[in-house]
Amino acid sequence: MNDRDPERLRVQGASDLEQRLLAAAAAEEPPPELTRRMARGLGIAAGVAATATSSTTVAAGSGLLWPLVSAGVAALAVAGAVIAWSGTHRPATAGAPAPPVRTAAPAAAPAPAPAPALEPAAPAPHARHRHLAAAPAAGDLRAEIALLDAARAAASRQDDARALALLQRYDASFPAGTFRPESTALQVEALAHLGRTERAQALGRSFIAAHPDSPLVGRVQRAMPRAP
Amino acid sequence: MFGRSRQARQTQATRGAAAPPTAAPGGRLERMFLAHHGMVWRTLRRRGLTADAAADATQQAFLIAAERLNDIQTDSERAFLVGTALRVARTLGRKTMRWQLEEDMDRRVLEAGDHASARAAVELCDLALSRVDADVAEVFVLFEIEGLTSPEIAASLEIPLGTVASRLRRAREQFRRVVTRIESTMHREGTS
Repeated sequence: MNDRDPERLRVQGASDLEQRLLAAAAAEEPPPELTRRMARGLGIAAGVAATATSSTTVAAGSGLLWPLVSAGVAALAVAGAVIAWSGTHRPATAGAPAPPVRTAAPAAAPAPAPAPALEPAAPAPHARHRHLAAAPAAGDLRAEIALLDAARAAASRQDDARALALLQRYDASFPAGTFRPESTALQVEALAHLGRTERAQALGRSFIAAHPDSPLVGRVQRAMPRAP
Repeated sequence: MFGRSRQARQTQATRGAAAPPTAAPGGRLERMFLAHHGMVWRTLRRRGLTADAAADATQQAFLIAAERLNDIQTDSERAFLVGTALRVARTLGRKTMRWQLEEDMDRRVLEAGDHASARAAVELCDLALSRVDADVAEVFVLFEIEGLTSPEIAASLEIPLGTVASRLRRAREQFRRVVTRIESTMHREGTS
C-alpha cells in the first residue's frame, strides 16, 4: 500500500456483494493446462509450470529450459548489450546448435538455434515462439522483433544508415507496433550518430512529449545531441 | 545499446561479451513467470478476454519481457508485464472477447445464477466490469483486484498519478452503480 493510495474497496466501504465479487475475481487462477501451455511456449520447465498455479513461491535454482535464445538476444550478445549466461543459462552463439531441449510437449522436438536475424525478411521459426504461431498477432510480433533486431544488429556494427532504414521500415510496417517506442529511441540514436542533429533533436523531443512517463525517456535524452 | 558511446560499443564488440548483469536472464524470466503470470492472466480476463486469449496475450507479454530483461528494473517487473499485456490485448480483435456489450445484462445476471459459487461471482464481477469504461476499468482492476499501488499503475499504463486517482474514482462510481443494479435484479428475481 502506498501512502497516497486510498483504502481498497475490499478493505473498507464495499457492500457484501461487491466484496464477494472482487474477492472471487482476485482468487481466480489460470487453469493448469493453460499455465503449462504458457510455460511451454516460454521454454520453462514442465515441473516448474505444474506448480505455478498452486504456489507463487519462487523455485530457486530450478532450471529454466531456455533452449533457444532469440536471434535478437544473440545479436545483442555480440554487441555486448546482452552478456553470456552462466550455468544452464547460456547464450546461443550464432550458428551454434542449441543445447538439448526438454519440453513439456512431446511433440516439441529440439530445434537448432537460428543465427542472428540480420535481415528480417523471413524470420526463422523459433521453438520459443512456436505456440504463438496460432495466437492472434503472434506473427506480427515475431516479425516486429526480427525487424527491430536487425536494426539493433546494424547499429551494433555501426551501420547507422542501415539501422535507420530498418527502423523506418519497422514504423511503416507496424504503425501500431508493440516496439514503436523502442524503434523511435533507436532512431534518435542512429540519427545522432549520423550527424543529423536537428532531426534527432526533433524526433527526441516529440518522443518525450508523446511518452513523458516512458522508461525510455532517459535513454532518448542521453542519445539526443546537444543543440549547437 | 542506448546511451553508450561508439567507443564503448566497439570495446564491447571486440571483447565479445560484456560484464554480467545481476541475474541470469533465464532464471529471472522464470521467477517473473512464477510470480506474476496469474496476475497478468487475471487482468486480461477482467478486461473480457477468453481464458485462451488471455493465456496467449500473457505469453506474448512474457515474450516481450524476455526481449527486454535488461531494460526492466527489478521493482517494476509487475508493472511492465501487466502494462505490456494490456497493450497486447488492445491489438486483439473482438473475437477474443467473451461477450458483447449489447448483451442484455439482466439476462446474464440470471444466467450467472447462484452468486455464492466462486465461478458465478467471477462472472458477475466481469459483467459489472464490462459496463465500466475500458480505460478506467483497467485502473480499477489493477488497484482493487490485483493490489497494485498507484505509482505501479501509473508506470504500467504510462499515465500520471493524478490520472490514476481520477480514473479510480470514476471506475468506483461506475462499478458500484452496476453492482447495485445487479443486486436489485437478483432481489427482484429471488436469486440473491
